[in-house]
Amino acid sequence: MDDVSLQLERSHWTANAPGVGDCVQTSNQQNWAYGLAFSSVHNDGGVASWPDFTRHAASGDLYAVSSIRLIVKSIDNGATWANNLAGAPLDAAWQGHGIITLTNDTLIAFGFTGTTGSGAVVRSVNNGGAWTDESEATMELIDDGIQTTAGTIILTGLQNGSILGIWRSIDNGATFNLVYSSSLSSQRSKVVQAANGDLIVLGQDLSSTRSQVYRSSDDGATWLGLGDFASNGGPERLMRASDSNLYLLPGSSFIGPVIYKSITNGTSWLPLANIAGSSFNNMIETSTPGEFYAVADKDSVGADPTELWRSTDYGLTWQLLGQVSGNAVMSIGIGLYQNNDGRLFVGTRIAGVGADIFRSDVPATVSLGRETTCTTEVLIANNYHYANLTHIFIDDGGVFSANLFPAALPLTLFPAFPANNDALYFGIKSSVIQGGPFNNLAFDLSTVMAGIYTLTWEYYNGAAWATLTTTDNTISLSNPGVHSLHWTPPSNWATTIAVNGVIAWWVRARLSNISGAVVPPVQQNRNIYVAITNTITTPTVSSDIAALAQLKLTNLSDLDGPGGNAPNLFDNRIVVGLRSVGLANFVANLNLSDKQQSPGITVAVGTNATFDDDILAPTGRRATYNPGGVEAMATRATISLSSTVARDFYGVFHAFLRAKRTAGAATDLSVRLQVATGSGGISFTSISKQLQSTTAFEVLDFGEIALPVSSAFKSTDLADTTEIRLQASAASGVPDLYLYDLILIPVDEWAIDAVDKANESDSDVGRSNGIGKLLDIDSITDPRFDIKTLIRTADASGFVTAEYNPITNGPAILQSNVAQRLWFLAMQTSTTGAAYNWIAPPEIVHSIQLWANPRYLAMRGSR
Amino acid sequence: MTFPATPILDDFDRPDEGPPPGANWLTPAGYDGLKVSGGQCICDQPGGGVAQWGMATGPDCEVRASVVQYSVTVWVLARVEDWISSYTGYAVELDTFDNSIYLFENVSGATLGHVNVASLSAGDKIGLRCQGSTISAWYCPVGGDWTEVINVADTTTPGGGYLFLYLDNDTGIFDDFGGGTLPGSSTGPSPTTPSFRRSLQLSINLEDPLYLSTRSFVRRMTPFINRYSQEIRAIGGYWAATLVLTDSIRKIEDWAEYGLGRHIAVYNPSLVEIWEGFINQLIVTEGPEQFSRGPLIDTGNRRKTTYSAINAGTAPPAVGSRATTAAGNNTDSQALYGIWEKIQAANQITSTEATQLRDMFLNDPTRAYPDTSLDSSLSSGGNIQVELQCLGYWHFLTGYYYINSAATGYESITTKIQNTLAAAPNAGIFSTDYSQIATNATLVKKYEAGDRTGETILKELNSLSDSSFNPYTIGFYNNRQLVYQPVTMAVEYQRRATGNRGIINQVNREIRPWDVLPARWIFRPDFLVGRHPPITAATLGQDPRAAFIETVQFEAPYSLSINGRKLSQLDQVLSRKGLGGGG
Repeated sequence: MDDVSLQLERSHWTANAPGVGDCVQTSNQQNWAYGLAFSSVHNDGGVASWPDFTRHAASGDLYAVSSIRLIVKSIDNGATWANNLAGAPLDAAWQGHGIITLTNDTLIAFGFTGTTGSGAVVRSVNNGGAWTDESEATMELIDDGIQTTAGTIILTGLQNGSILGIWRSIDNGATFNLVYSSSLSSQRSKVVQAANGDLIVLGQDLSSTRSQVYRSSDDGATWLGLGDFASNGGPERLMRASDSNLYLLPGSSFIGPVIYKSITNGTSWLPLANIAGSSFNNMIETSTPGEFYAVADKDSVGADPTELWRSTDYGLTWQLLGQVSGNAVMSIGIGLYQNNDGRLFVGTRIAGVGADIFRSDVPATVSLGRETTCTTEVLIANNYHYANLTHIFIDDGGVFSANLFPAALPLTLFPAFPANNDALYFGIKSSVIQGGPFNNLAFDLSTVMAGIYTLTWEYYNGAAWATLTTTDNTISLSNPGVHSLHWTPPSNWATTIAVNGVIAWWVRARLSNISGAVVPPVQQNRNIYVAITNTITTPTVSSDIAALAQLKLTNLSDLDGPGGNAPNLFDNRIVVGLRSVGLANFVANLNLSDKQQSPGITVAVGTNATFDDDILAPTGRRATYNPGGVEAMATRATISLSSTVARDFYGVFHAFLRAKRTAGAATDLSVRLQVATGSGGISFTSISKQLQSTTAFEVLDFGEIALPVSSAFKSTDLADTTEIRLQASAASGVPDLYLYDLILIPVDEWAIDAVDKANESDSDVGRSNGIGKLLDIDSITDPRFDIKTLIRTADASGFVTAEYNPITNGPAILQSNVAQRLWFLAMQTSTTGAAYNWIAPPEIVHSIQLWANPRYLAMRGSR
Repeated sequence: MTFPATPILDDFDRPDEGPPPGANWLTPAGYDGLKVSGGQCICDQPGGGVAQWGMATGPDCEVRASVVQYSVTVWVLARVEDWISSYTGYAVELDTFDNSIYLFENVSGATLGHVNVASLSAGDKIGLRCQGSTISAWYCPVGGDWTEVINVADTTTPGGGYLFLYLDNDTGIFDDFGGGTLPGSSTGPSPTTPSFRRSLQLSINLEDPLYLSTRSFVRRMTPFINRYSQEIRAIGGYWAATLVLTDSIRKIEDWAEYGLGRHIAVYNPSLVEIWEGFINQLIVTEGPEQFSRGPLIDTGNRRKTTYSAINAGTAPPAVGSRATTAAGNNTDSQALYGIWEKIQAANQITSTEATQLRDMFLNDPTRAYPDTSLDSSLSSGGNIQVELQCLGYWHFLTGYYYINSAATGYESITTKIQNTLAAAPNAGIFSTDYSQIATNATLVKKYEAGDRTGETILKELNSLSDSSFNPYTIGFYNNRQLVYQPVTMAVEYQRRATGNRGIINQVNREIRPWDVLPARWIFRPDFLVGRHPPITAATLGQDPRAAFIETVQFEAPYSLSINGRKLSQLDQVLSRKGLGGGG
């Protein structure tokens, strides 16, 4: 039954003596873009949006145009804005579509007044001091414009009668001439200059779903129609990126957008990426080459959020970061702009509120987590998301420090002379695009807190600061080295209080009962962070065949096991899967959420399903199915894998769903998975499962699923869609179904499901009397056994306290000579004894250590 | 040999990541690393950084990189065993302080060579080659060609190691890192071909019997098993399995003593359970000696006697009506082997005699305990092994008689199935999760006299079908959960006589032999080619290429046999009228 015969398996040459392993360094480091926090900096109460921004180079002033008769100006990097078109002759009628700054700092704004030949183009040569109408007689609406490298201005839009026109100015916008008049009926058109100097105009063909392409090779003097292509609607955005290629967002059809790319200076176009579920409306490349941001109106027809997406590979793979605003309503377009200080601006419209300009903080990225090590300092969460700390404040008698995240290290926590009610605040700013609640903190103290004091961890419950029930491995910040703090997010944890002006998910450590001098603790050489991922990366292990491995997983999040005090974050079942393929994009945890998605993954909800806030959900958001009564099986949430990441998910997985039935009986809801590769019906449907309890994060085990569904696919083949659908039926309208995340533990390289079969109060992986217990998954130290799963005390004694059932497809291994990841899912029994359900609180955290004994097919020389 | 003789290993042309600058790189513990930014390799921290290429090289190796932008000094290194604990090997440094190129020996820190160049410019390339004891530094000015600028002999570090890049502050930028073991040289201590392993073992795990209140034994037996087979039936579910395992005499005898009744669960490589049951009989072979114990299901440690009472007060004695004694228990046996109920029949005895007969059986060790036998053969012998003959938990249905003698009226088939399961005497055997028991509103009488086993009743209920006379399947599967569902009247498996793909499902994915289940329709597309494919329930019944799988037998590693036939609605109708065979 072995894939490698038993004799070979056990008679290989090992790098070390049998029973001896080498440490394998692990890491949980992850980059955290903590500056993408948006706040509304301007609202005009109107019914339009802000489709475009520009910057006056000499002054640094920013301008934004609105489609409700406004040009607004900011002289403070977008912190405040004021109407700049007021008083101009056209201000009562002008509706903006775009604005550009010429190389001589002349401002050209263009749009629509309803009167052909009047007000389509306005110009200011004095930084917005005065605006003049420069419209040419045939101009009805100008949709886009650029200044070419030769200084010529090209505008494109509508002539009277919805006919596409192209206008040209060679005098910095003082006068325009109609240089091309198409017979095309078009409402949208965009212009760009290609790398070879050619000018390309794309215009929507209203008679079909196609776009017409026009080219000028003489700086816009003459134009040639190049034909059309199926762009799925008119162009929303046309730009040239730093790789010299052209990129197009069609986007207007309100169905899954396709991004097109031209590597031929606009003469031919190929689809690049198809992002299901959202309609991209604008796109920019930031100052970082290849980093694109895009904004989308969720479905472009209703009160849905304005989403922010990011790609770091020239538009190939997209990641939904989160929502800039809620209840956005599509208008002329959503503006997207990056200022020279790095801040992003989004101009959108919120239903019932009006047109808002949102400004981000200055984006910044910091690497958090433990760099590679053999120690027990690498933490593994029981979920996968992106939100991490954005703020640390020290409250020194009511005087707050500056934000200490990230701070110069070492960092003294608390004032030099701590006093009663001094406090240390940790927060994730609620407006951070990838923000969310958190459930742990990891410290690394070089100097511990010393003296007589009481340290109380607190959270804000909407009315007051209340005690947070924690597992405090830092022992009130008096424990040197890497130690962590854990809690279950309270249901009333509120983001309604501003601490030092910042609204966030806040927890604080408050001092009291100080007697005498107290030495403040010092965080040493890495930032305080939140453990947020249930995976570790291991370096390559040199070996002929897979190296034998040993894993030690120590529970850090529970104090007293089953039935003990909160937080109840022990575990007695751990599933581990190894994966060396698809490392670029594969993530095991697919959050059923509309924020903090991993690159290339989108989630959409189905009939009677919505996205909702949930303080316990890994991202702070969940999908909710609210049946109206008896309802047949139907898709309630769809996870789509984009074509650029789908192949990284090819493999065999054991699928677990974390969900909750809110009320009623088990028979009220049935849930199943459907995996589809291709829109033509290549799908696999699992059996239906029922939730046996009303406990959050109950685990439904759907067994094996495979991607692609059909074996007829080669590893290089792609389907037009790759989806995993969560389907549910209801026998009554009593319960709701909360869907948190789908976890795909890879099982096609090596995996184990280590289960506590005794299920007694002391057979768990937890901690009691100050001694943690670890799960020792061991294929190294005892050559008599191919694998053992023992529970040991995590102290020097290593006493065995329980033996787990090792359900595995072979000895523990690490693949040879390739990088790889291990993915984890920890579960606990809902009660001790024979009758229980499996639940998997995301707040469970372990530390890990890893060893390997490389194996060779023949004797070797110097080792 | 011209320089370079090795390929570009990393052009860093990918999205920003790190440190380290990719999956193939490492950052030495405690040091600041390098990372990818904008398609180049830069420092993560202002104070400089280092990165180790993850693949070891042989002794004859080279390393190089393009210097997009200089910091004060930029370094490439080779033959370094470990940056921290064993800083061996050699380094080439470009130093903008004095426009020099240095070649260092790392163990002592000695300068092996030093040359000045006119100027160091962005776009230069730096290289190091170690070939035997010949250590050389190479330099390629921007727009120029590679030139060997230093060549020395040194034997301080003769072996292989790792390649490194180092920048002393964050103004430095590398790109196009290359190197590796030189062509034609020994591969040294490290392999160069990644191996990819798929773990495909079944996990065969045994535990203490489920009916025991205290259970401690749990073991993954896969490495000890040299034969495994299993059978799954459309009526019954997980039906039977046989394991033969080899171990030490001490362990083998532990099986003989404690093995009977132990729970076995078998998992496929995806950690999904594919069979479970209990050890019904075991046969221990120790050379010429053979010992067997069981079958467990033949044990009777809860007994009743049904009898026709005789009245001796008349002459001749009159035979009375049938009666049944109360149940008697052998609790010692039950504590070891669970509760197994048997009914002893007798004719023309008194109630006292019936009770005595019951108790006689209860106290007979060959009846109240599993049977044992001991055989010796001096003329032949066998291995030291134990054969475990297992049954699925369906067979626990034979271990009790469902009684509901006071009830009148009717209940649905679904309810009666659940009531029958709930009456099982051994706690924790049958799952109380009834979500896989289909709703079948067909009414059956509640009354049960207590003379039919759970198995008999469930088989009968299964055969009754529903108002549409759909065929049903019934059996215990994972976690002893009873599955009672109408048969899906559509092809789920395909099997071609030609080719070697085994059984595939309707979306062309191979079903591994251990994952094949009964109670599904299988279709042979390359048999009687040309017939229209079966697409309806009616067509399935007529098409000779389709069959309903009654039984699946799997023997590790890859043997599979399936037994199929047609399904007929008539069977259900006849069963309703009492003419069927009850399944």
